[in-house]
Amino acid sequence: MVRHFARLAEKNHHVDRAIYPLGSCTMKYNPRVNEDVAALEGLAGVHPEVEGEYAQGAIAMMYHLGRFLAEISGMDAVSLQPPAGASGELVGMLMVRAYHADRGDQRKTVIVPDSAHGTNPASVALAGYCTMEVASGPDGRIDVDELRREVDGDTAAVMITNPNTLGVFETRIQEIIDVVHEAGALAYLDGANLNASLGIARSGDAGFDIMHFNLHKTFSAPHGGGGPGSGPVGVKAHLTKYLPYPLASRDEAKAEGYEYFMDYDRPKSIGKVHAVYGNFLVMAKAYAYILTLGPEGLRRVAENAVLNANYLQALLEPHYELPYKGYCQHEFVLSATRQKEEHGVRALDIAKRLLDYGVHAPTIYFPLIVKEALMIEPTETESRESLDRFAEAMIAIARESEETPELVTGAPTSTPVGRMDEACAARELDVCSWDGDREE
Amino acid sequence: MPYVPNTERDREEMLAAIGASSIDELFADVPADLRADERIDIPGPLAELELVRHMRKLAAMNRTGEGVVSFLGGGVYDCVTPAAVGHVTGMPQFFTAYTPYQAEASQGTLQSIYEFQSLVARLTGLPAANASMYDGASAAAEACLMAAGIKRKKKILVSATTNPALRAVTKTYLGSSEIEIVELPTDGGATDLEALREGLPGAAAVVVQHPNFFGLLEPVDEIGRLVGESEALLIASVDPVSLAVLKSPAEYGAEIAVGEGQCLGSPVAFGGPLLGFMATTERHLRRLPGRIIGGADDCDGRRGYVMTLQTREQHIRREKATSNICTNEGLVALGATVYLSLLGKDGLRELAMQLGSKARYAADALAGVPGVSLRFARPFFREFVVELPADASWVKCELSKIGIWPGLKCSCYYDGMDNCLLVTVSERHTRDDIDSLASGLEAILSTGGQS
Amino acid sequence: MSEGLKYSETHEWLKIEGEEATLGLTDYAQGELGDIVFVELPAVGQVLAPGDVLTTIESVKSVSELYAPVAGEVTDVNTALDADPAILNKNAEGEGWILKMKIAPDADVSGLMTAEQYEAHTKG
Repeated sequence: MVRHFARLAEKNHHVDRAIYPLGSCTMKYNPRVNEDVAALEGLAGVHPEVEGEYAQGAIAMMYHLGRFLAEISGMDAVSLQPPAGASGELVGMLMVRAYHADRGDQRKTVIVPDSAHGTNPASVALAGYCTMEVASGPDGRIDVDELRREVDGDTAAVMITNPNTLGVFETRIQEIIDVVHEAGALAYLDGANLNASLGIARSGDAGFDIMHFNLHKTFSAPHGGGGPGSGPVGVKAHLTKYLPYPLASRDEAKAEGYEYFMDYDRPKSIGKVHAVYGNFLVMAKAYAYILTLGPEGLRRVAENAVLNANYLQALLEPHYELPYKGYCQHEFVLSATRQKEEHGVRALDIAKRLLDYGVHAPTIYFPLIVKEALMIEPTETESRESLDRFAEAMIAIARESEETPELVTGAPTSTPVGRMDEACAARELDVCSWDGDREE
Repeated sequence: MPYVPNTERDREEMLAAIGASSIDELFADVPADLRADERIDIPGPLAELELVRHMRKLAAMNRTGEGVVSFLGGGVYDCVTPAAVGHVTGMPQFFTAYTPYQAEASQGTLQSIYEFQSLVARLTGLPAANASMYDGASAAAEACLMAAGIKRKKKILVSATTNPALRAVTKTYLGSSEIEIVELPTDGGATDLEALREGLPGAAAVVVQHPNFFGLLEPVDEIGRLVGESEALLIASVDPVSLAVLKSPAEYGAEIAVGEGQCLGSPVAFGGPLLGFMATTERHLRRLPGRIIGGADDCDGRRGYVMTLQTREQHIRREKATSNICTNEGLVALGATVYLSLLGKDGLRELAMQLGSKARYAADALAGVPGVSLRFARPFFREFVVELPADASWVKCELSKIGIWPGLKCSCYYDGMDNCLLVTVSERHTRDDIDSLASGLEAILSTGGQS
Repeated sequence: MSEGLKYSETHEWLKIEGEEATLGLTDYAQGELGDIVFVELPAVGQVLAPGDVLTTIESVKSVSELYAPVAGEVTDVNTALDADPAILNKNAEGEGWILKMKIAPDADVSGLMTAEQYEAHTKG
């Protein structure tokens, strides 16, 4: 049985093997000590229904992790309950709704840039709002004039990713937030790209009212082949009362006989989004990571993440179309339009060919505003040698696209399976096997 | 230690290649007045040894089930997990990978999720399972949204015997929609069938839990028949281990099955990560939220797996997606797959039988204590409710002094149950453990205390 | 592109015969979508106003909606697409028709394009 899973394991690309530069996913090294400490019996073995006095270490850890995240982001309070980023977005949007409802204000729309992650409009819809898109300007940033035209008394919030999915910082962010606030709306930050800003700039200082974090991206918790993640939500003081219940809290006077407690007495709370307190073991890993790095270390993460991205961008710019020029932040987006138009090689083909070079492909066809997009985020934990190897592969593929395009369009050839027939998979659905036969 | 491999010399050479004079220059787009001048006020850095010491100290401030006899449950269960489960989920090939966006380089993850879907399908009898949800509670909430979409109706009936967390999360998820949640009252610890019958007209779906929060078996045949005669759809929240000995949701007419899979080999972990699972009929497959893995052939006819029906998902469908879920509980699903594969059909059945008989033994032992009785007369699985002749909080407090955690206080979730405890057995419990609960309880009650 | 068909800006084609019309997805649009894997057919009898969503068409990684170009009522749907949606890729403007409708008496068809106009539209 173990052999079966070990054989499956061999068929996976993973961070420990080579660069995994999925844009906006922040595939950084997962420190092993974090795995070890999260597995301590005193953490992994605590039942959530124990009396508070028997879980002081667990609640204290949650409380302090919340404080660390608040300090890092400039927010006032943080709930760790959302088990993933998208869940954090939902919490954020429900708090937007609660805030306006409390003011007797029935607002209907949430504005989202056209470069946003798909979870943004999906979360907006789940919270009962309509999405309005605001177009990006020619520099890849939000077109502030268009935003001004779109924002009105019906606008409940604006969701912004900064740096955005093109890897550019919204230089006019304060003006944008002012426009939002003047209309009585709230400013929400999608923190998927926080890796670029650690210790550099705080979203709370820029005026954001709400944001979510991704502990499995920025704070090194592993991605686990798709999860578990953790998507804490931070807010400014005027929204604290809406955070999900219960909230890890501290009573230094120890009225109940102990210092840390889960606060259920939150009448204005939007409710619960997780059956218990959220993904506690993921929080433990992020907590350990932050303590390991300290304030200077966090800043060095951002600096090196941005340096690595710019280095790769500089190496690749001569070979691929770079639609948005200038220094990037933690990631950048190339376009394979040149390869497609001149040689019939699409971004998808380039992605598949990269697998033959033993590296993972970037995120492709996203953001939607770039044709044949290749969105590359190397992260700070890649060495220069690793970046050079990836660049060499990309440059070799650019050359192959000109000389032997069939090599690229026929890729991959070195993986356990060749290119999969996804159309057939969707037409002739096979989503489970009823008999117990296992295929090797 | 920020896990940065590049040296100062690397950085200088890289800056030269970029054409920038300093790293600071790369941040030129960040407005000066936004730059954080002051150091972030957090502790650290800690060396690895210091970190481990600190974390051990925190861990020592918690009490785990070790050194005590714990009967805590109520949705999160202390299970005995074969060592191989942790070793498989601890393989970097699995835990340091992400969502299998490039199928050809992710066949390990894809096939393991396909196997997970197949196991969920076999347990529930429903052929279309997804790759996991956050937990059983959010899976139920998503099922309600799915049902409302299918039926185009705005009323959902939820039994009061479902887990309180399931109801709380469902309320949050549906709170901003026009869907009305109607709670069905309890009757003898199970769903009130008369109230169900009355509530059905105009309802999109009915949510029941089987076994329910009190550990009791619901009258699912009768519920399935009533719902089947209406236009509503039945959503069953189930304990996956119980399915080894109970009817599958498909057999009593449920069209969506959801549940909590933490008990399939994951630690209690202060309540997370958990593992939501969800399955439905082929007919509703396209309405499922979340990721779905499908079998396919590659260009040379070799068998493999891909993410399929992605057009339902947020990264393509955006505001019209079936859900906003992206990251799920992949590694926990892998753990459950390994766990179920190791136990096999017979092992799971053996486990379920053991939980059934230990619960029966414990119930009999406790009911033999003077003044103590079973609160409900229905058959139960894994857990049950006892009524004490004293306040449950006091009993719980007194028993914990002698190293016994007798269970959950029902009064936290239900009115009129101040003297009730939900007692949960685990495969870990020995006969002595259970006997010590009964004798401890008897000793405490005989001292008088409150009554 | 076929002679005698009318085209809309949102990539539907119509073959109008008296008060009956057959409707489908244009060949140009099927090419843009790629391998079509699913077509969600409307219900026979559904009454349509111009701009109503008629059906959703899914390829592997995109979704496209078809809109009613004119008012009317659905009289028939091409159930062959259920079994084999790939027909749309093979012959979008013939065998791959999606539905037949009865055009409302007061329906306005003047906004529809000829094949030549549509071709210019897709290139513009």
